[in-house]
Amino acid sequence: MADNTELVQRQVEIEFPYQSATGAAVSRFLTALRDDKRIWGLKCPRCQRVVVPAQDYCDVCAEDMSEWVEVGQEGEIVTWTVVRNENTLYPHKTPFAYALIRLDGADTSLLHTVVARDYAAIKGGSRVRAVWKDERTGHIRDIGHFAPVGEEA
Amino acid sequence: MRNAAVVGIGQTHHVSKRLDLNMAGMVREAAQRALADAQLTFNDIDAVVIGSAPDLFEGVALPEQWLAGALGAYGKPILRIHTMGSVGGCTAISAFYHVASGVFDKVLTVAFEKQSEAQTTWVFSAGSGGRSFSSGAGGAFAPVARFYIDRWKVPLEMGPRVAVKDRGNAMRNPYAHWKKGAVTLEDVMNSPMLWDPFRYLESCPTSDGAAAMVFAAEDIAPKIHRKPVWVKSAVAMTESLTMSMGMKALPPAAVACAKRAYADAGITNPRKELQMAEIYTPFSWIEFILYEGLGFCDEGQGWRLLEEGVTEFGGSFPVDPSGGVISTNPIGASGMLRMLEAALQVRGDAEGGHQVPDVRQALGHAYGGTINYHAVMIFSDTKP
Repeated sequence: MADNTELVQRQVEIEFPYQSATGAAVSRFLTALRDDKRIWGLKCPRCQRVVVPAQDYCDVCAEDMSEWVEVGQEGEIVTWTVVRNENTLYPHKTPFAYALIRLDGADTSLLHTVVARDYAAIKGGSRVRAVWKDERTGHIRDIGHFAPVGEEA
Repeated sequence: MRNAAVVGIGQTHHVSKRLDLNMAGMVREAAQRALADAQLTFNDIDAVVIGSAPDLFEGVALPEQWLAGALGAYGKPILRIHTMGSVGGCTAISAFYHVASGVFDKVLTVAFEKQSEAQTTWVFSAGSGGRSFSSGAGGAFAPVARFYIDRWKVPLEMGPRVAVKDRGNAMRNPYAHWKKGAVTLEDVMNSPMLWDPFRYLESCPTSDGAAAMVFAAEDIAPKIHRKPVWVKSAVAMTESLTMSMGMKALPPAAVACAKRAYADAGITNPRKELQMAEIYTPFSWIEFILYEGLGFCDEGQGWRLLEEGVTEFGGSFPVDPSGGVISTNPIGASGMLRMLEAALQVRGDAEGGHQVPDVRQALGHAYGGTINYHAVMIFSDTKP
């Protein structure tokens, strides 16, 4: 290739709208967040785990699930990362934490965010509690975030 | 290599929108039907092969990661296949080789699409050859049809007659998306022109649906199903993306794929040794190009097969008795539906009156991309 070839970079923007069916179990889970500020799981008839968020089948046993179990608004942090960099895609201004949270009565961990006064104080087993949005639409982020117990207000 | 057979077949009833099921629920429905057909459970399965269109089609990155649990793949291997519209065919082929290789005895394979959740035809041209032009799928295939018409001086009603055949056939298939009744040539000719020469009724719908099959090794297949359907050929071929076939109206990869498939099956005269075929015709005129590419007739003669009634439901070599892709198009699943319908025909189990009499061997075909990916399977009632 000649040295003076101008190398051209193509600019592409791809943007499409999507509407994803959530199915019966997730729909019921989401409407309960919206209408009642309650968090429900489904219990697997084989392995007996309570799966939160609710879904139609057990990921481990592949069994259909139909036994609804309400779980707590509080739980413990299983693991987490504190986000220090900025990105418009993030749900909160930084710093905040992404965390896997095992709610009381659940056997699985829910992925959500934690907003805290002191991130250095977060550790495995830290107790957190759901902080609800006032305007809820039937979305997992109707729970605005989780906060360390005692910092919910 | 050892022999393998289809021992389970399942599909959803294909519709415009499955709001009642998410993606996981939809693939589960097809998988559970295939497992019920085989009288097996998820626990009996050794590996899962899953196929779908590009992530961008439905806006879910890595769907196989999400769907593994829904398909009983916990603690087992799952492999995702992706070759655009041919993916369902290639996925079935991969599942077959999982068993034929001797590595796995019982393999579940599933392919799916939820077109209602996205803008698939425009995503197609965002990720494919027409990325700079947004042609849509019909816009990409129409010039190929136009080239075929001009080259062979074909009467202009022949494309519409494919739609008449396929939409009529769909009325005998309870799983088909198209439910509005048989159409006349006049109906098709009067439907709006979308991408000349493709009219509305000559174009595939956007469907939500899933397809599933279970393959089993030769020693256990007869114990699982009263009538295992044996695989004689499973071949996939590719050519370049840039529509080199447009200069010949004969896709080289289809020709090569069929040639190899017939050689593997010991077939020298496809229209005599096969009793029917399910091929991938999303837009009317593509049908004739595929007849020729798959060796059903000489080049330039494809349209005459339909003109003479050969490929009609009651003809000597019915093509797409299910109604084909023109009547039902959950893209990722459409290729597997061709394979699954061909297998059902061999088994004699095509429901709702679309069974062709006395099918002993049948061909399933899928294409993808800009007609550059091809997949062919040949099914038989006799173990090779």
